[in-house]
This record gives sequence, structure tokens and C-alpha cells, in this order.
Amino acid sequence: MTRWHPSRDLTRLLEALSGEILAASDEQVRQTSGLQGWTIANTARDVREVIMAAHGDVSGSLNRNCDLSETGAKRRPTRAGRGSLHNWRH
Amino acid sequence: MSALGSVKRIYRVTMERLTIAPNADDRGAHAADVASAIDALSDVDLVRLQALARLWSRDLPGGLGWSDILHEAIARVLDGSRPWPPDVPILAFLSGVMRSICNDHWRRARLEQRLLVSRDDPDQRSWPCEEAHEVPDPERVLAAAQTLANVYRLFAGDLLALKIIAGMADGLAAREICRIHDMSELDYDTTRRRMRRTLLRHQQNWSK
Repeated sequence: MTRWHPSRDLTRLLEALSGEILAASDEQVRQTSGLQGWTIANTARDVREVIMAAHGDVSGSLNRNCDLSETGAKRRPTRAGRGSLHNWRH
Repeated sequence: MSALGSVKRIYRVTMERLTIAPNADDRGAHAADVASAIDALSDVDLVRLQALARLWSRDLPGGLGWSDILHEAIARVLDGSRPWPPDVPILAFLSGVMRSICNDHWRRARLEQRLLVSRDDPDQRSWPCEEAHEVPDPERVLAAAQTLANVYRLFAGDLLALKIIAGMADGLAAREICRIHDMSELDYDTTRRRMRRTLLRHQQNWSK
């Protein structure tokens, strides 16, 4: 009899289940949302808030690094306003 | 070397292996691309993203929840420490990053636990680095068994789904699952669709 490895089984299973979530059609997601009484818009808003917070952390970190690297030199504006990183919709 | 020194060295080596350090130019270009891709995700994609975050973060040590893991994943891809490979869909990529982060948290929890054990037990102070990662961790095994049981419970009453789940846990391909259980392709596909709905339906109960 072979030894049971729950951790390995779980890893494989979670991998497969994540594939199922990725493969779910838009219609399946909408149907589930409707049946369960939660709205896609509300969930999407929650996720966007997390993304925005993470983005804010990264921008803050970039700004601090930029400031630190210019210690003793003439300061430039920080990178907070740069590029598409900041074109986040709400 | 003291026990504390050994554990610190293990931690440092582990973290060095887990950390990728691309140059600053690459990071900037990469961050802009990945930010645009994340920005372009539809509401339905964001629901999938949350479901993936909940799936990977279930039962994590330290009370971490889906939003902690998603936050960390987004930060790592935006700062360029996790480069987005070409031809990998953004959702699949983010799912992989979250899985990796969760594995890091489990590794860290194991290292911290070993530090505590080694303080009390001199016999535990000489684990080589590689061996330390292979030593079975009873708590992790128990947590994995409980999580597996929870997943099976999710599909209780759906015999075909349980067969597919068991096959997935064994690492079997779809064709093998059908052959072993004498399941038609139609039954397999129909059950998979049912499983997806169940997964999405219960995702809000997986992780805080």
C-alpha cells in the first residue's frame, strides 16, 4: 500500500480547481451570482479596492526609492504621476 | 553555528531563491504592461480573480485572507519582482503568483515552527537546508487533509463530481478519469460545468 500524501493531493486538486475557475464561462459566473444573491458589480468593486491599495503601496515604494536615490543631488519630481500605472478606473 | 543562526541562514537562502531581481528598466516597462492588463479586466474576470484568491488562501496560517494574498500578488507583479511571461493570460498568471505566495507563507510558517522546536529540542538543531524542506510537517499534513475533506464535502451528493475530484487529486488526465470510472465524455463535461458552478457558488465561504 502506498503512503497517502494529503499535501500533494491537495496541491494537485487546487491546481485543477483553479483551472476550473479560469475555464468558467462569463454566463456561468453571472448565473451563479444571480442565484446566490451577490452581485458581480459589488464583488468587482471589492477586488478593485484591493488592486488600488496594492497599486498605492507600489507607487509609494517607488517614490521613496526615487527620493532615497537622489539624496544629496538635486531633487526631481517623484514618479507618482507617470504612465499608465495611474490610469485606474473606479 | 547556533540554532538561531542555522534557521536564519535557511530563511535567507530560501528567500534568495524565491526572489527575482530584474533591472530597473525592465521593471518599468513590465509594470506598465501588467497594470494595463489588470486595468482591462472585466467585472466577471474580477469575480474569477477573487474566487482564485479565495481558493489559494483557504486555511492559510497567520489568519491571512484572500485580500491579503491578492494585494501581495498585485504588488509583486506591479513592482516587477514577478515578471509576466509572454503568452500567459493575465488571470492565469495572477493565479500562479498567488499560489506561489501562499506556498511562501506555508514555508515561512514551517521555518518559524522549526525555530521554536529547535529551541527546545537540541536534536532538531542540525537539519541541513534541503532536508528541512522535505521533512513532513504534521500540521501541514493535517491542514491539507482537512482542506481536502472540505473540498470533498463541497461536492457531497454528486457522485460523478466526487470521482472527478478524486481523479484530479491523483493527478489524472480527463481521459484517464473517464476510462477508470467508465464515464462518458458528455457526463464528464456536464459534471465539470456543474463543478464550476459549485466552486463559484461556495467561493465566498472559503476564505475571509
